[in-house]
Amino acid sequence: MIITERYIGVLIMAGISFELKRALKGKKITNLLLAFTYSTSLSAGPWIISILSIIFAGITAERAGVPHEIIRKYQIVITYITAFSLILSGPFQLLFTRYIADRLFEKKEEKLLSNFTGVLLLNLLIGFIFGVCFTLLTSLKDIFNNAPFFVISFIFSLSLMTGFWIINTLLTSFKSYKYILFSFITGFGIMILSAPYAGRFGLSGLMVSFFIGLSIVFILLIGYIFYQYDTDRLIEFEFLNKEKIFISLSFVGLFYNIAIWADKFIFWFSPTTGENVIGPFNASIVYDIPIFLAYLVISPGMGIFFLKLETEFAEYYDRYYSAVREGETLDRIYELGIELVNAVRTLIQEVLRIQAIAVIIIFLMEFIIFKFLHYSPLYLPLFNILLLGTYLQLVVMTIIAVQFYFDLRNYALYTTLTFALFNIVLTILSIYAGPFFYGYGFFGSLVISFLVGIFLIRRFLSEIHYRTFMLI
Amino acid sequence: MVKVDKGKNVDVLIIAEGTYPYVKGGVSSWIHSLITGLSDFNFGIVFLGSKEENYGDIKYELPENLTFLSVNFIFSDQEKPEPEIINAGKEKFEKIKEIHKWFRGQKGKLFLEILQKRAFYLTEIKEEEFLYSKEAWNFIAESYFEYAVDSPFVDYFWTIRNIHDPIWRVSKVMEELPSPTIVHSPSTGYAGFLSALIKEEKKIPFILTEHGIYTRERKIDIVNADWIKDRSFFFQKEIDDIEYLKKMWINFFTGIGKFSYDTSDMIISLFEKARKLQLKLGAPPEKTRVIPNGIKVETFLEARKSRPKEIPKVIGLIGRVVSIKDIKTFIKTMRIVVNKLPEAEGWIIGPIDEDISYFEECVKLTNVLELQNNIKFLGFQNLKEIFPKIGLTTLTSISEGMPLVILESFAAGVPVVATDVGSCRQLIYGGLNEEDVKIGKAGEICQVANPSQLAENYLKLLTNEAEWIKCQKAGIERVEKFYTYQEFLDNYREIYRSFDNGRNFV
Repeated sequence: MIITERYIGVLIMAGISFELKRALKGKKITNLLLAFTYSTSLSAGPWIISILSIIFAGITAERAGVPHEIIRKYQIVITYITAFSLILSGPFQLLFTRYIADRLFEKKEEKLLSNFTGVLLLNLLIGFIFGVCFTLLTSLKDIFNNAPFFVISFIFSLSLMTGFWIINTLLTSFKSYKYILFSFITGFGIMILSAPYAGRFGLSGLMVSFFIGLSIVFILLIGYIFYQYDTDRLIEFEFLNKEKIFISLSFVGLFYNIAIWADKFIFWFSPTTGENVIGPFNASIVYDIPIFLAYLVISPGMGIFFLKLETEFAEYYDRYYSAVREGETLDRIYELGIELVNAVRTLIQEVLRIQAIAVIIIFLMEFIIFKFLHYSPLYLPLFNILLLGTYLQLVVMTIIAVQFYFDLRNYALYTTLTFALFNIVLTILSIYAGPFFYGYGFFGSLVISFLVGIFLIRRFLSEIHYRTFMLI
Repeated sequence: MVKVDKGKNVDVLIIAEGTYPYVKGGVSSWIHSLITGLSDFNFGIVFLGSKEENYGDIKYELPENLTFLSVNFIFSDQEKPEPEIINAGKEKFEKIKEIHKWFRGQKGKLFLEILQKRAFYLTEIKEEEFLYSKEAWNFIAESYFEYAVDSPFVDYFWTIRNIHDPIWRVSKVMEELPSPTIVHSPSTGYAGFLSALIKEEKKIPFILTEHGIYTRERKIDIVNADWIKDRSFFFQKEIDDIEYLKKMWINFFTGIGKFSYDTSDMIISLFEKARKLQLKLGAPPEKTRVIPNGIKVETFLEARKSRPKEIPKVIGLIGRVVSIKDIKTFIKTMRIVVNKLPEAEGWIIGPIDEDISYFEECVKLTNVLELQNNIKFLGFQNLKEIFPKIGLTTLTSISEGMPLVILESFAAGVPVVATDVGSCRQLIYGGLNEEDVKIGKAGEICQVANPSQLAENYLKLLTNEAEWIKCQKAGIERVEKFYTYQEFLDNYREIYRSFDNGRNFV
């Protein structure tokens, strides 16, 4: 009998839903995880905790009689460490998060730990090298002679903190949230409690106590990671393998972190708004307090969009893609597509709305709050515009999260790039334009990136069916 | 991917779809014996496979005169272009619509014209435009609403894609081909399609030899397939209502088969019945011709000489133990035979491991009918040793092409009783021409799945020695006259020569 390829047809058809299923399944899980980690690691979570710890450390130290000037210097140096470490680790945060999510989807858990070690060591090294270079190239070099411990703990804290953001990407995979809390409380608690004693040794003492506190958190978290995962290889650098990762995510992370720090750096180093505090570190009396308060005010709301994302939006998202996978008619898919578009609209609108209420309440009460905190009401106009800025920043984060949900990595890249570029350009312009325009640069850049992000999502959603089916 | 290129002129380029040299089987050995037999021609092979992982190593020792071999996988994902958003322009899709009509079974005017131009696939509409452009999407969605509004869309979508896409792949195969004198395809389907393109492009003759009837085989595959998920509720179903998606596939293979018939210069079948089927499927009668397979008769002379004087009361069924061979009917028949002739035995000669559960059922049936002493499953055997020990060869299959075992049996001097499928009637009663009919019966033909008729004929031949000898003589005469390997080679040599010289050029 003839054995032509009888089953050629069977083979073709085996591809049918399978291919799509695979692609969509992967899509769902990885993006969920990515959105999840993205929102938590960059929102409320550790960021707020560490900032609050430093404020508390300052307060306790001041109570114990440490001069205010030293505490201010201490807080400013820590702010620089945070900024540098976030920007330095930016290229790896999202990149590695996605790498992990993909490996988990492939059920290759053994890849996790070895690559985590790889990315962690790489980031510690980057932080360290940057710290050393920064010291050698600036006036920090001269301070080394007088206060070696200050400089040394600056470099090591910077290195450690760069690695700390990488640990953050794995925090969501921890099964025990209590343990995370325990680690933070132990580490930062020791830092806060030791601050009054460390303060006796001046700035160096405070820096060392910060370094020790950070080290404790660091070690506790790492210990847990090593305890939780198994591996047969100590260290791997597969997360640098082009085939396994998405380079665009690296740029998204970098641009986002540059964007959120650009206006601050410009205000610090502009001759009209910045002043030297210690060595190479500048601060801006005009800008720092209002922007800090503005962030503090919106921080509780950071979790809200994530909640909305998880509960309402995710459901519509799921319904649409299951309808596609499971062979609904095109009519039904169109219907669910419309519902999904509505869900995206609702999500963004609700984040806008809920935060708007918070912002309005703050507007009404700001005078009292400032008086209570002993801040000059002169800050109020700038605070108001910065508050609108941070409010929009939250919305832009929502938009980026939605872009990740739909795996629109390039769109997220455009959105963050717009944010970064315009924040730099407009902030510089605002300084030239005079004090009345301070803060409008930050706000303006967010308006533009908000519009760009919305426009891109709109473009995707208008042809979502085409892209879902054809571009696989 | 070119695997062999000896840099010599290729006289005959054979397009092997899923067969030679990667898969063993009827068509593959046919190709192999054709190439080795006609050493005065240089052959080239274009292998079309589905996906690389479905094939192992080359299974044949490649002959000296095989001077070119290229291997192509037309369903491979790796060869798909990278997805990107593309705007293709509307006019292009007017032509795609035309092709699509053809897939749906409406014969558009333009389709032959369009299909024949290979340039169409490579420049006018690129594969990536078909796969990724917005126009293609609109086109698929529109035709879904027009024709298949209740089918699961994801299935419809991939059916359209999977039907169309290999056409671009096949067209791309042409980019690295030599310039042969003749293109020869052993099937219609994608191989036939490619051959048609080669004919148009290189202006050379295209010979089609059909072993099975490709279109019909695909149709059976598709109707029985459960890979096209049927998601309709059972009360929505009407009897004989094949789903739209299945129809699309059938139309595709029918269309592509018709396309091969229309473009080829000669359509060869192995036996008369197959030729009639081709005519039914739209093959132009003036192009058709029958060239049967042949065997090396001399290989079986030894077996013929060593036959015992008595007719052994043994009936041999030579074939794999699978349902298409209908072994169960043979077992039932043996019950009737043994009732009348207790010493009769039935031997089943062929591999049993292809469909184990079917084999087990057969064993059970043997036990139930208490034939343990009369039926033997011998597995694979050397036929030259088996033939002298059996009195009759039989085939009870429900479907056959041109079974060589009948010819081999004749050559070894054993009459054959077979069911009326494929070329069996022609081989046993004669049907090639008048002269062939005059040779007379070389056995008997029975209905499919009719144990009492089979038993009657077995008994007649095993007990009536005069009749048996008559059949033996007819069989030997028929195979030596019409079905020798030499005859087969001479036929093809003659055809190749005639095209080679530019005669017979249609």
